[in-house]
Amino acid sequence: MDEQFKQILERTRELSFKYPVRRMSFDKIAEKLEVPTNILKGYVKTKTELVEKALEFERYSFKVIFLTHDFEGVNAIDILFVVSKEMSNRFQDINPSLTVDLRKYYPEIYQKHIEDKYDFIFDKMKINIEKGIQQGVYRNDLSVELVARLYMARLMDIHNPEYFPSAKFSFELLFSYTIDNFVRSIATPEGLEYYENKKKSMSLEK
Amino acid sequence: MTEEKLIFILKESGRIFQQYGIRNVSMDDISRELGMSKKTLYQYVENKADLIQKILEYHHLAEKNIVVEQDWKGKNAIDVLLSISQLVCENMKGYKPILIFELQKYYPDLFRNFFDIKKQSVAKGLRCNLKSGIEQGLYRQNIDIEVITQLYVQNMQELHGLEMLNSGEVSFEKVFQTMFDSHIRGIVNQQGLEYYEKIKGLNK
Repeated sequence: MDEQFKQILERTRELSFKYPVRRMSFDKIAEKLEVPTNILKGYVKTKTELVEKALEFERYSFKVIFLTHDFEGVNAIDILFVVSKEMSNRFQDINPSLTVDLRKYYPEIYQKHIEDKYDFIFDKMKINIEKGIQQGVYRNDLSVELVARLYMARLMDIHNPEYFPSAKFSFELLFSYTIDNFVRSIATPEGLEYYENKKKSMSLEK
Repeated sequence: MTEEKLIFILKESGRIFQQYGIRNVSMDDISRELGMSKKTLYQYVENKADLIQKILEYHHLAEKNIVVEQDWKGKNAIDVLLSISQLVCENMKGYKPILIFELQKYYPDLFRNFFDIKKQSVAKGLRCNLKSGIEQGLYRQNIDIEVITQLYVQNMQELHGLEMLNSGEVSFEKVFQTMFDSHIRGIVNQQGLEYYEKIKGLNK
């Protein structure tokens, strides 16, 4: 993916937060992106392809978090904090109605997007759990697979607007509870103390 | 027509469905297994869907009664949660994921309705328990009751779709206990955690 295309996709992303992109024609999108139509067509032939590439870029942006940080030897709980913060920074502006639109108008592309994301996060969570067990911050009497699956189930739940309408629940709050519950449910006493101290010092920083 | 007979029908039919599945069992099979004529059976239920609905209602009522009939005197919020979890596990013996699958597939409205009612019941109990636990100084003061309740209750639904359960890799009991343990650890303060670990140790 070359730089110019990345920038186009980044702008597409921002555009989708502000406007109902589904109603716009390809030409109109190009206009809003301030990119000549022929340049855009050089990258994607149709609006559907643009959506597909935009979601691919979205997944890539998430994966980049793990590429730009060297987590070798870092405390598993610290890793959770770092990743959560990065996610907050990048993903807080996502409009929930965008998800509804994607599900409705591009169901197959969206389904693939969710499945890929799921697999990636699931793997990372398992690694985090195993790391934490080795480091003695998580208990060693748990089923890594089961704990990771339950976490993923909860993560899927909080993305579901039927269960958690955005008017009633802020995603940030739900996510912070999800991570909090995750740590508290598997931490050793040392891990729990470390986690609580870290939380305390972070809230003092605000 | 008697209530006793109805309960007998519902309990036995439930057992039959549990054993053989829902799709495979006909009303002929039911009446034969129950040792009654179809005419008698249809005095109590309109059709198979009605029978299933009544079984679900009965199951829900039975679960609620188990909780209500307990003597909660002298028990703190954590004791209550632990007792209920044991009762739920007991009640769920014989649970087969295939039943839920069949219900969702062949009787989706019935299932959705049943599950919504169940979620509401559980939510009510959870909210109550969270308030008690906070008052008793066993749960953390600053927890958001509604968020925690909804996170637990919505997870119940996902639980039934859990691959590991459906493939038989892990038992319902194990999944439920893990969820439950995670719920308690997510809400207790230091004192509550110490108490929980102590009585968990005693119960083994």
